[in-house]
Amino acid sequence: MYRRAVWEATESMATSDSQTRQGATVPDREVAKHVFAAELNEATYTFKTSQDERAPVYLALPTGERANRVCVMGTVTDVEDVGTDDQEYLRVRVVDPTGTFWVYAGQYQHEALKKLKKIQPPEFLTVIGKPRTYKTDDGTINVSLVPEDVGIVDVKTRNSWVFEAARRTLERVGSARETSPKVAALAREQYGHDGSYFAHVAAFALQNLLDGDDSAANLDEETIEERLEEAEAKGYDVDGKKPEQESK
Amino acid sequence: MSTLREDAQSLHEQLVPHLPDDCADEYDVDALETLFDSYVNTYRVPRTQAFESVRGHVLKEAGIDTDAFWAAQRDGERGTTDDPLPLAECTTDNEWVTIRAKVVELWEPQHESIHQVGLISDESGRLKFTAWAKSDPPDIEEDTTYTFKDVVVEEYEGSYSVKINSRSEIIEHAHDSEEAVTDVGTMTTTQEGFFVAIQGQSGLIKRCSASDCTRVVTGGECSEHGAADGEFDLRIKAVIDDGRTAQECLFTRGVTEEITEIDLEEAKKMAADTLDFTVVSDRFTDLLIGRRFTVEGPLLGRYLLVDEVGETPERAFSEGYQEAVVELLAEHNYDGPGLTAASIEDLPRSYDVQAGGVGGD
Repeated sequence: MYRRAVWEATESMATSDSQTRQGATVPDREVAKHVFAAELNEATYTFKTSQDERAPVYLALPTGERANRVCVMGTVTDVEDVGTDDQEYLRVRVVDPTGTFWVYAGQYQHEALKKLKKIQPPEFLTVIGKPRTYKTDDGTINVSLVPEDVGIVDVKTRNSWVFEAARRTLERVGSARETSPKVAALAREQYGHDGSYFAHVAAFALQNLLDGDDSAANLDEETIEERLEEAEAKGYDVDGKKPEQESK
Repeated sequence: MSTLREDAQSLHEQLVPHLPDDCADEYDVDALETLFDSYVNTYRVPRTQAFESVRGHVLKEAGIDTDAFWAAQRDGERGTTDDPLPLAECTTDNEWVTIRAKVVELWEPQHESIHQVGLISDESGRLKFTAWAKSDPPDIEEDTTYTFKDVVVEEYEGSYSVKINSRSEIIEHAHDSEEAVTDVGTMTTTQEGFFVAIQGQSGLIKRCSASDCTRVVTGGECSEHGAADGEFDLRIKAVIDDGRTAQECLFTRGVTEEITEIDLEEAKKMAADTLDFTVVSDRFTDLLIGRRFTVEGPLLGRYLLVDEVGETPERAFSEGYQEAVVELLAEHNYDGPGLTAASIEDLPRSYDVQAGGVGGD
């Protein structure tokens, strides 16, 4: 009878599906793109595909595809409450091999907030969320993430994501002009380049993966921290300011 | 308009295969014409109603099996015993079809009017079947392949099933015969990707224990049967996303226990310890979110019903990343600088796709 339960359960789902096909609207879920921090932070141009107030907002990725949702991973280096006395608002830095993701969670991201509060950096974290852009006082546009869900992951999962993000980045560089010509044209116009140098970024991230390969499986906290310090010394993660260049 | 004689002839054609031998003469063309004449001219039955009225009269008088008669009148029945219709194509309500399928599972009939009920499956998919007691069908057995001739497709709120009726013919196939279905439901979909969302009503749930009800009990109530205690079950409804497609997946208890390594008993204990059901789905989310899996199974509506599940990186990266990385870069013709750069800030800010090595062409 157990299998029957499965069957019946899925049957009723099939039912609700057929109803949606008949007109009621359950829009297709937006996919989560795999994007490195270096590219996401340059994706400052957003657009909508319809006038509807609730229409999804897309980032134009410099490599030429749109992103309404992303799935990213990296190392949490800092969790800070930047809210008011009675309203928590967390700013979380998540560092991937190419830069920093800025994740903001407030009262409307209750679940994510709850989990983020418990994090003791450094820790590998995955963030699934929606990118948002905002203008700072000096007029520059920053990109941040509003988390839908977050979770602590192990190094293997994080590495797997780095590989996947590199693959997707290379794919976008190679084929976005054909597969999403409109967004590719828009991105080129907005950013003044075709985003192809993100292939280097992908290659860099892959190299980073190889460098950590031997010991990756059993990194202890000490080595992680050493690496973070190294990374910070190289300027990936200095309060969101333009990184200092040490090798020039 | 056709003459009464012509009507009598066409009715005769319809009736002949079904007339019992002993009354074949009673209903020859002449007799039928006389009947038509009496209906139309004596009893003033409108001409347009005459054909159906006479046919109804004869069917009743001659004791013809009406199920069988109407079945035969349906044209466009699809599938034959030699070339049965795949189950995946049984999607027209009320269509008469011939199918060949293996009985995957027999369920306990919930009512005496049902003789047998269960799941049948062929290479293309699976369907629920019902054999009603009143049509006195033969018994069929689990794990055996049959050709089901003249069964009727039924649609109920978007899902399909087949009904075995008195006219249906059921032919058993030996297990080692050519006809035997070996790969059931191999129309499976494979999705690789990251767990990006665990949906509501995942984790430890309770299903209504009323007979023939499997609804999830929320707040101690079944939406159909009201207050209900329910029986514990484990499941995960999740979205697995590879950046191209976001696929909703349903993990039933077996596969849920497999990927979480938490079984029903342990889940119940977790919930009991904290007096809170949601710890289980929270724990599942912690365990799974962001992890990369390959799942496989049939599509049922929006959901992929997961039969097989495996974590993906193990395969690709068991030997380290070197090979995979070299392969990936080669695949994209990457021979640009950067692999040894100490900082990506040193990388050139532009790169000529056409001239350089980053081409995707």
